[in-house]
Amino acid sequence: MKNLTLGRYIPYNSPIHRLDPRIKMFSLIILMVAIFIKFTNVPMNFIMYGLIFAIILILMAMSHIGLFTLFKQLKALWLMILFLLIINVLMPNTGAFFKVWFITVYYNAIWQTLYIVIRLILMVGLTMVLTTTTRPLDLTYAIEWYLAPLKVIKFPTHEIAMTISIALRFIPTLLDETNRIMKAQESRGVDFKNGKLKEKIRAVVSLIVPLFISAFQRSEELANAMEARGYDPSAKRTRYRVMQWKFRDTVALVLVLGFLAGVIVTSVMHLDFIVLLTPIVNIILGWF
Amino acid sequence: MPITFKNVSYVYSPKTPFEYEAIKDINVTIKDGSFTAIVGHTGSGKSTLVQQINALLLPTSGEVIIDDFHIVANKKIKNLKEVRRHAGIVFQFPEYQLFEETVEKDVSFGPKNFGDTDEVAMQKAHRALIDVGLDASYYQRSPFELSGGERRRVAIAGIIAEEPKVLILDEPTAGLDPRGSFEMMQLFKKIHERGTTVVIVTHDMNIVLGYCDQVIVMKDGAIVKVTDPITLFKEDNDEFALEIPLLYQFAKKLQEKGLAFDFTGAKTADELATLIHKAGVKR
Amino acid sequence: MEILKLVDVSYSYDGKKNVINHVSLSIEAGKYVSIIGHNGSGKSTLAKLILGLLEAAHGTITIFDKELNDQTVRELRQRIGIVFQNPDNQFIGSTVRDDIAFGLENRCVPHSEMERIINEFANKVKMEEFLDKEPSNLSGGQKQRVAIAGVLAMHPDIIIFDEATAMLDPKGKREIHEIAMQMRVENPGLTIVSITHDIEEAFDSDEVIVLNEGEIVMRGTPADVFSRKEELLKVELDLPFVYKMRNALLKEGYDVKDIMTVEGLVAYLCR
Repeated sequence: MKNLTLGRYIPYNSPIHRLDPRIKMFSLIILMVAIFIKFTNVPMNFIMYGLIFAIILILMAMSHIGLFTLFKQLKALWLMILFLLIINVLMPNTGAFFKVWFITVYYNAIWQTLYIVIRLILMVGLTMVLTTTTRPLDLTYAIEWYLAPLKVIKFPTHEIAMTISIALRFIPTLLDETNRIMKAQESRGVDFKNGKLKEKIRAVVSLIVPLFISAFQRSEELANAMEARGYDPSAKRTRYRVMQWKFRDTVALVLVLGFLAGVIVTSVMHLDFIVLLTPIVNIILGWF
Repeated sequence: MPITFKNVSYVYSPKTPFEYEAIKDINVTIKDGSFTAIVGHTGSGKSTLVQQINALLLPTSGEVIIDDFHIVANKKIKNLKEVRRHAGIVFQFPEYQLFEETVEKDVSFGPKNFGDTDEVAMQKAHRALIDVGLDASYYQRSPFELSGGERRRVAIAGIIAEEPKVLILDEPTAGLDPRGSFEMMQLFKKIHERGTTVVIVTHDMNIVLGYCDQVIVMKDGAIVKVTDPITLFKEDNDEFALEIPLLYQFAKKLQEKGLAFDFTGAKTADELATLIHKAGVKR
Repeated sequence: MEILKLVDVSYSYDGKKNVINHVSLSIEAGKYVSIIGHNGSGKSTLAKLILGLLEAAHGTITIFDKELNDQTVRELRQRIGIVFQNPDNQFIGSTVRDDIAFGLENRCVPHSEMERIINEFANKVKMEEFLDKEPSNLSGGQKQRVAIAGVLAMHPDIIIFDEATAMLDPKGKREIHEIAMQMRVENPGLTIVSITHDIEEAFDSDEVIVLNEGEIVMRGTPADVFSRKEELLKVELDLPFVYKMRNALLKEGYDVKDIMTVEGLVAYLCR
């Protein structure tokens, strides 16, 4: 339950918070793509990952999210990361290798593994920036906007968006109700933490059944209330919350697309920064 | 033996941004065998307080003593199930906790959890159902086909089946019509007369006046008054933001207009009328 | 002018027992009518029938001189507002603003007007400071006030309170009752139908209809209905305090037969 606070929306008035949710979502996808692009050689890969990480840090600083939050989020995944590390490092691969006892470790395997772990960290970081700076409801509106073209094939975009927004509104209410039912059953001798498997199953049943029944009754009453207030998904409706694309969103779009273009060029043209920058570094050092 | 609170405090979500001290340094004793009401504004800590009695919440500081059970802050509680068996809580709108296929199965759920055999549990269930006024025709029925009032009675039977020495009720008459409310309170009166200590959290001062012998008034997480209902209503001048029973509001209006009479002890309109007559008010 | 009329209406949930049994009634525009009855007497079913959420098995319902049926239901609903019993299960928006806006969106109110209307009606129910709050941070009474704001913003001709205070604490009950009284004063043409089992609430109405087992058993002014103590007890209803006190004083020989208010009784006894 406590883990729900990680990645949760934190209200603040940062530049990132104020961006249109549509551009934020778009940027997330673009940057995710950038993470998976392959570069010239091993050092280049690490340089590019470092660059993306730097971008994430900047975004986090701009959105007032502490680095600490990222670490906490990753801490939850440390087991998975460790598992990935061990499995992948021991995989057979090509190229140079060294031996530890009877275990053969390929350098390439080490790089591949590090790539996987770093990509994971970057993805988690990026997603976290999105979720902490964007209200779930705004994300829903963005998704609805992106799915709008599907209305042509009669895809129920509006209904889905409405369902999601109502579900989001009820999350705190449902959590409260779960808590209440748990307490009521605990008063009847149920132990949700300890006990044999059979007892635990009974315990879960005594929680799930009332929740479901209550959810069904709730939906019926909600549907009645919505109908009584004139709701008709197929009829025309106006909208209160409207997303407004501002100049800053265009700026963000340009930056993101520019970055993607740069990344693609670097990859396709097999650029190697070290090779390119060495002469320049030498010139600068020569001045001293 | 009574229920005693010694310097009890409870903090929700400690060390998080949502930290909140719901009750502070509570010291009070609920007399054994009493019918005690806990009243106060919404958010005054009433629910938090009563949940300490059956260890649903453990005090973050202080000690709660219920008969032979000592619940001490930061100390692991040894016989949790025994405590839960000893003091049962009926939450608000308890009908939402029903889940079994038949009424008797649901009511026997509690006893079974507390270690009774299926047979003994079923016996206890049947007895409890008769207590709440549901006869054998209800045993095999699904709880979900019953009316709201019947479901509530099944839920209550589920708690009293284990015959707790302390019965805690959180707004048991919420949403009930006048007759339902009356029958519910009569049931609790019956249980109380058998020797059970009854603790009721309520906003309904008419209930407090009609059934309780001790009142604990809470405000902002602290206890501000412990007294009996009649004294409370005689004295209260909006201090505790309680809805004084209409009967007493009327009596006070008469007093304000200069009528000198002692309306202590009147619990119904008839009794009050008799007192008015005795005070010599002319016809 | 008759604004709502039921003629021989019946409804059954299971096809066997009639929850509403051949009920006929009519309500005049601008009146405040209370429909009282014990739980299970069919009160809420009546509300749902009037809103067209349930279809009567028998009989006709006429609202604003139009018969309620599949073709007219949407149009008629635009002029009726209802506040249901459960404060959570009618709160649709993620915040107070969004919930009041929901009704406006359904009605195709232009976007440019919405902000003004939301502020106006939030003010009317004194929730202007809570406009950006989420429902999980509101009390039951506050949520019901938002529901009322949402309903009022639609400018209905009839408002139905379907046990709207049943799940509230005394403070919440009082808040809602006060708003209802305020509405009555500010909109004299508004018809208010209050469905309740809280007898004190019915005290202020123009007319009281008593329902039992799906049938109307009594009808009249509060003074009429509440003086029929025996019949009320038979249908498991209580008397408002004033009438209880009046009856008790009558028994003691005080001549208070014509007095129907607390102030009246106090004045009489202290004369």
